[in-house]
Amino acid sequence: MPPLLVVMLAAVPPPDVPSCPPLTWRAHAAALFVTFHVACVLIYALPRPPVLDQDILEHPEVKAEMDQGFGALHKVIPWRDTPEQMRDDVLRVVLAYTRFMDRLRAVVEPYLETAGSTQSWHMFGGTPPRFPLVFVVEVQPRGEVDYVLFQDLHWGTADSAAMNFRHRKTHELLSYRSSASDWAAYAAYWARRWDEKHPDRPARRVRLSYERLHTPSPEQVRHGESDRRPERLADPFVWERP
Amino acid sequence: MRRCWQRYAAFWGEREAPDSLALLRITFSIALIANLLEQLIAGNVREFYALPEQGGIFQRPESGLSLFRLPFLRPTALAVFLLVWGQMLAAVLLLVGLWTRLAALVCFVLQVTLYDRMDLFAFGGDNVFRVFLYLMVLSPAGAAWSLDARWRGKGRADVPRWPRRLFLFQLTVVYVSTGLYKIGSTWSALGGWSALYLALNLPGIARWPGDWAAWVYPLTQVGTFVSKWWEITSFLVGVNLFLRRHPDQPGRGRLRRLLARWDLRLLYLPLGVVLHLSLTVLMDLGVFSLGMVSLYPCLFHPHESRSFLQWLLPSSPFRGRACPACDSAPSGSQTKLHTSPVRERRARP
Repeated sequence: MPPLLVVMLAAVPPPDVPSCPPLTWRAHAAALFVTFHVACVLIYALPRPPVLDQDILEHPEVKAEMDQGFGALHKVIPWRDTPEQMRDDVLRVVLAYTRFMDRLRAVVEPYLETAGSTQSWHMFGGTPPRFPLVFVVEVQPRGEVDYVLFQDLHWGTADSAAMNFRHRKTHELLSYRSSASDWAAYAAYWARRWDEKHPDRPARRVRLSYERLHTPSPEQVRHGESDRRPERLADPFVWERP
Repeated sequence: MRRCWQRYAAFWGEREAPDSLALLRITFSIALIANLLEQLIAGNVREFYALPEQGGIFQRPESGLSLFRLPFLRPTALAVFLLVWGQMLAAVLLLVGLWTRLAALVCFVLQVTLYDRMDLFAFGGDNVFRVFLYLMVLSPAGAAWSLDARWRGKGRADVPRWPRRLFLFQLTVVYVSTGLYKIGSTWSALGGWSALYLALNLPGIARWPGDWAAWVYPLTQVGTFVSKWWEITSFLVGVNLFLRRHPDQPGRGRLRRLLARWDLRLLYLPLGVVLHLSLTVLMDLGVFSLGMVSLYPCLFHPHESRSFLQWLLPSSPFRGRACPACDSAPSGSQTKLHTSPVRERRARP
């Protein structure tokens, strides 16, 4: 049995608690503050759906998830004729809930920002993608025509092993937070890293892109079909050194 | 209404011995130190925090409580290293409990500053540190098992219970929110409970290629089910602790007695440790799991924490003699902590 549990179970329980004297103003103040803080946190931390626009709904991951989910639900509780109609009903409710929660959040946000307590824990609970993305960095050295693969972040590569996990978080956020300045900044960073490694071939252009992998089902893997069929996504981001 | 408020305020006004807060302070500061060491050893401090022209990557406008909003402070390479080492020093002071409240405040402000700069590099664990450091600032966590108690006469026999309850509340919010976000089909029978299998096949997170998971797929399905429902039902631990506050008064109602019958911590805590250990082994998530487990002492009663600390540190200069009367000291009591020197609490009128 773990030592902690042994010492906890063997610990002497506390004696009986005598009746409490009258409350002081501190006790009332503490109760007020705690109630206020708890209410603010609950309002802010309540689950909130992500941004739902047409681009998001057409994203392959989102589309696959919704098709599967509503298809299965339609077989169990078909309150409409088609899964698409059921999906539209749910989206209407979700959007109304989101608008209501946004109004509430705006009220509590000033306090939580000051307290460093703005929080949303969706990063721990999201649905793992069926089609994960692998970030690819290619560099065109000055005076050369072709791009050279600089970072191969697939499993088992030296680059992947050396990559700090926080960089992977950046790759994930870049894939759906498409600020051009962030992409340019990240590309410039990779250009600097290339230059450090290849001082005789400085970078002229950096191309950032993703490869989409397909996760095989367990049955496919057990039958020897574990190919993840990587496909390079269109529209890479190209940065050119000024 | 007034009577309800009195009872409600009395609940939040309860006091207890300071050992659980002390243990929480120790474990949480260890996790914070590990988080900083990870960044320093990996050599990523400038990349994450400095301006692009100083070795950083992203340009970010500062917001909130960030120190970089001060006109004389810019995120140069020197400044960010000073801030990171400054937080390290404050975390060590928090660990040993010296100038505890100030150390917690410094850790909090620096964490907010660095988190703000980190932006695209910020991970869930950074969020955890930021949110819980605020609660640490509010807590009298240096009242025992600390140099403040040993050297500066700041030892206290009893402390308010509400800070620890806030930690418990916030921890519950993290877990329950996370569980509620697990609404995708792969987190249910609709998707064959395949979420964990998919996570083990994520090149960005899983440590190894995920083919091996296909051979233990039923285990991954069990893991998916257990992790989701463990999180969603974790609020029961707080309810259970509340209902078991007075074991000699089990209360009316079959449901109430059922919920109070067993100590649910004996199930949830080991499961939580196992889940987080599995995450650490199977996935590259930094010190996130360590950070979460470091908060578990908020679920311990003071006498339990004291027993553990006495077992862990049998000849520590920080320890004091056990004081059973301190464990449930009501408001306004004058029980002493038997360390020296001790500051006497003034009697309330």
